[in-house]
Amino acid sequence: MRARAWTLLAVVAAVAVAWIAVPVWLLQPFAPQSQAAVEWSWQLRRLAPAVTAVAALISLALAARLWPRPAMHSTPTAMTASRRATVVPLMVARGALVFLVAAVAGTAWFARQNHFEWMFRPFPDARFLVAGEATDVPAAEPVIGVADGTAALAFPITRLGYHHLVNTTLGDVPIVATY
Amino acid sequence: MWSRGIDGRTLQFRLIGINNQNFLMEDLETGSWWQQTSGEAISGPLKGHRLTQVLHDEVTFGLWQREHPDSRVLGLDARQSRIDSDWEVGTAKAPVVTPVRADDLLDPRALVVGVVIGNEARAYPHDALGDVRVILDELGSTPIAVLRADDGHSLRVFSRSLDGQTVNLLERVGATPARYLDGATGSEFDFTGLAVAGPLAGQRLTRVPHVSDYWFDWRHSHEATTVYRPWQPTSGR
Repeated sequence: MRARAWTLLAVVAAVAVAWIAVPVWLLQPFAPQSQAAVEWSWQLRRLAPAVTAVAALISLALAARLWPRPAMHSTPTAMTASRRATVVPLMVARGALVFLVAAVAGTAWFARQNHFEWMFRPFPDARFLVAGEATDVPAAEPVIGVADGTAALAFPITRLGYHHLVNTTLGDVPIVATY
Repeated sequence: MWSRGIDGRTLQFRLIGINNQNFLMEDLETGSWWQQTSGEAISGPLKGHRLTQVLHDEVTFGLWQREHPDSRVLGLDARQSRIDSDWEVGTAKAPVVTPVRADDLLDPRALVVGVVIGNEARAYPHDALGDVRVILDELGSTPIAVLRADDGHSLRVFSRSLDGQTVNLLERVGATPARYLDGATGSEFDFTGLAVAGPLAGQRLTRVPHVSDYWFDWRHSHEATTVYRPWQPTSGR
């Protein structure tokens, strides 16, 4: 029974880790992607928060059940002898349980992160400078410019290139500037 | 540059991944993934939908300010986040992951101006532009001109059809700001496509959207693209 619970815990941990590792691996920056790879990544990432949360609960329950406690002994002599024999395996088992539960908890946390935004932080409340304030943008720097006859916006490449995209509006039209 | 409105609702986007060295964005409303270069949703509930492109420019800040003195400019975030101005140089050294074909006419990292009219796509290599300020061409039976400004970098594409006539532009050498002459009427156009002098004064050429892209990426997303080749004298035989 215990062996089966251990196996189940190992499988749950492996599935949870694979669930988040596969899309990270598929969408590597300097590797080619197929449409199928993008589709798989989308499906895995969409379900990742739920799958990893369930995995975390299952692994926590299994770990609680498998958590080894020192045996109770009738005589002091028996206890001393037994302790020597069991304390090491007991610590190893506890360590393994902590490791597996932590790994699954880690996947549940990662599933709620956007690691691409760790590399390139978003700029949700994008600030725009009025003419004359942008004195630190060189005249030779390329900008993405957009104008509607009344309003005009310029996105210096070195700024937009970092964030990759900025949600904003031009006049009343909601736009997303991308680079 | 895309409109965020689709089917009567407004989407909010965030960076979500990369697809063949081109970034993917996700809309927070449906969780669909969109390809930045094409504006097409490639995964998720809105798969197959396309965002509407907003006509935009990729020009130098100096030129933009000259044309739009009241333009607002994207500021820096609290962390002063930006890429180095030579980021592109580093990026250009990164290996290309899409297949390079034996019949490829250009280096994968060659910069091109990509234009689509109707079903026809054509790439204008920056190298072909060389030092010239005007390329006259015809694409999808539309006469077009690729114009370069006097800063040497800013490019725009225009239709050369004006009131049923075709204007044949040539560079007014040495003019700053840049001016382009119509050979037939002697009218003078500026870089916004407006005729500023001559019989056509006040008329405006229609902009044609274009993208600046690496050849590998343009080729990947436009399978049937042709490549513009400047006319060159053949060796006398």
